Amino acid sequence: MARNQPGVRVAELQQTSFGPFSKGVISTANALLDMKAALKDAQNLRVVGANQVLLRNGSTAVMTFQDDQGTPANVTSIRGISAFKDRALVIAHSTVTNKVYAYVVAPDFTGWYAANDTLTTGTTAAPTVVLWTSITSPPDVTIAEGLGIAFVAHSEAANASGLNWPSYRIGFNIDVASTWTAQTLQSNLDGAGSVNIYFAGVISFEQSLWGWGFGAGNTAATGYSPSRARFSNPIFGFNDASNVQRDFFNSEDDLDLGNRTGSVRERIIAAAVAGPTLFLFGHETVSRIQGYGRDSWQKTIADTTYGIVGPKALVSTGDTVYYWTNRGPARLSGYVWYGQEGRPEPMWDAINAASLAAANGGNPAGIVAGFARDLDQVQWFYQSDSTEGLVRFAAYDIRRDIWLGPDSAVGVTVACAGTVEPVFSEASPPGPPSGAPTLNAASSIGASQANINYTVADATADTEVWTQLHTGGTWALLATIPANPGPTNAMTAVGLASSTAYDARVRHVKNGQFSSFATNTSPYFTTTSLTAMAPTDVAVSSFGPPGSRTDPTGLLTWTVNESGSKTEVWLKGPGDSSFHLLATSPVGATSYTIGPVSTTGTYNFEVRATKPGYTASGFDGPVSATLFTYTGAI
Amino acid sequence: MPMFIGESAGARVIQVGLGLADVTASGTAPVLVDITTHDIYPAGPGASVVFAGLVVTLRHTGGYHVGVTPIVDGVSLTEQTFTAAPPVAGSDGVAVVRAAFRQRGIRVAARVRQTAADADLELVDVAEQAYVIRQAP
Repeated sequence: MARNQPGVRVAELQQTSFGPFSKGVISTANALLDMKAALKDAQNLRVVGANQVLLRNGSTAVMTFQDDQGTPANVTSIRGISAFKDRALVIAHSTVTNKVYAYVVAPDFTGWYAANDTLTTGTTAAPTVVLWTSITSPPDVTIAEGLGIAFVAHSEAANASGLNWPSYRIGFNIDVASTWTAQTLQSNLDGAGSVNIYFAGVISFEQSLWGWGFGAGNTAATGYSPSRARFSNPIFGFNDASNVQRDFFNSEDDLDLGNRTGSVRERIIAAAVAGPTLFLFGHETVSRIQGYGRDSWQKTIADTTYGIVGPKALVSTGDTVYYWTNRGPARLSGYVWYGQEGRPEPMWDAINAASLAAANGGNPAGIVAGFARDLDQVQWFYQSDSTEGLVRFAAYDIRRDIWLGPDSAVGVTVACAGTVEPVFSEASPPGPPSGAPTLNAASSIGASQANINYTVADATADTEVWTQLHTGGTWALLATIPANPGPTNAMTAVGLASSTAYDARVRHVKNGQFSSFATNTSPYFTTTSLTAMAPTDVAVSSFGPPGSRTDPTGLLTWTVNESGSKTEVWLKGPGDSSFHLLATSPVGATSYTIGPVSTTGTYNFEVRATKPGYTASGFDGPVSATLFTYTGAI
Repeated sequence: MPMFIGESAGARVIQVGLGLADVTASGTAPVLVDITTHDIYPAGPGASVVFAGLVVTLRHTGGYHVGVTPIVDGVSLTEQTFTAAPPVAGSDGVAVVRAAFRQRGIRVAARVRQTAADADLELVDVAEQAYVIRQAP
């Protein structure tokens, strides 16, 4: 049948696109909803750029952790991962040794630090310090940092039956010189003296260390306070010169999660900081804490319904905290100020129904959340039944506000997650000079200058040359000799005072860091005195035979070149074998009148300049003239 | 900023977002895309059509193994598999595969999954083809 035959309608092939899939995954069967651009189910996708939907990347083991036995064996569970200082901190448990270990590792997981802080490159790490011992079950831990100290708390540190696992602080050079140590966290919570304290969790917020569910002393009655969070002073409690923590959690410095003081129902389970807000989470309650310091903390209860499922089911990124409630995932903004309404935003309406199985017998308390900045994803690890372990994976793309997944099971059960990025490379900051220069003997010492000689120890470093008067002087930087072009091993000091003793010292400078000084204060050198400039143009003239016995016989003239100098007139007369000083003319004089002579003959003259503090100049001359003696009648 | 996870029953810290496979307890397991679309009603919720095929547009860097399953009125039909070698040099790697079938129905969805790991894979689009016999009133 011809398709253009009048009266006959022919079905034509039509094509409709399901994508592009810019809405991620939205699980529904309702045909009346606009699900254009959404997937009903998707495993193992990621979104980049302008909604490019790609296969997600996999995972790679980067480091293995071992216990402290003589022949080390692998630990049995990784319990915490956190950025710490410019490194990372990992907490692990062994059911073989029944210990919990802390590992300070390079931020890219390429090496680990021993107790003496030496870095060993490798992917199998030994413990840096030991925390709890005789502990048979792997703990859930929280890690906080302040002033270079890591604080670690066990989520079951205390309960109504008693005190179990004290909190620890981990630091380098705080208790034992040049050593990483782990000490139990102590404070005077009840005024009875410093004792171990038992926080169920710790977090840093506004320069204060916060702990919750705290305990102290030896009895549950005084120790357990499940709904309360306590905050330190703004310096994390370091209140004496030796960095020993004392009394930094004062008894009145605390807040309750909700309204039922001391309530197990309002037990604080977790905390997170997002933007300017500290969020405290309980089973049914979420509170927002804002402020800065003891007299300004303000609490706003944000939720009394959904709460949170477990201590690891939350992660903050930017100004938002993402967490898993007893209903499903939700988020809260930290930029909601005290007194304003800021309810949790449910995110479970769009997530695939399979993920909600996390809350139905699948160990919801164990749910782990993490944030992968390079993927723009909050990632959740959960289990859908009571036996499979935390192997399920779902991700929320925070840039595009879309769900991805839930994915197929990942290859391992997950206990914790953390984001760590090197803040600078191991080679930075650049190093100091490799050594100090040596100071050699001075040379070419003159009245106003001298050569200061040294030998560089680091050819890439600049060299500072300092001098001072040996007597009563203060050090002054004379010059900084650059490494390029160079190296130079000497400099000439000029403008020195004559006949003066000087000290000298040299050091290298490189990348803003200095070597030690090489110093000579013996003194290093003493300048010579100055030489007066000689007169010039000396000339002598004879007056001829004198008319009387007292008449002068000649005139000597010269030009003065040394300001302020006197002029010595030296004479070698007939019969003299050498010159001798005849007279010294006053300052400024340029002539000398020669008096009567006793013998007619040839007289030789020469002149030189003299000046206090100066060496006499050389002679100008000699010049000679025939001078006459008086021969007339007496 | 890489994210790391800690093994619950092991001694390893694992970086997320690297490679084409997930770490397992004793080795690796490939990461494979598996998506299912929502239904499309070509002629509306009350009119049947004759579905003719699914067209899947992919972009790959190292070949692909994919299976395409039409789902008509909620019933999965036979999966059709497609494979390809890595794109030739200079190619942008975009490939279009068509899973042809004939099935009368009202709604259709598509399941597209990798059956083996090759290299990175972008899911560009999925489309359905149908002969519309009559539109729903």
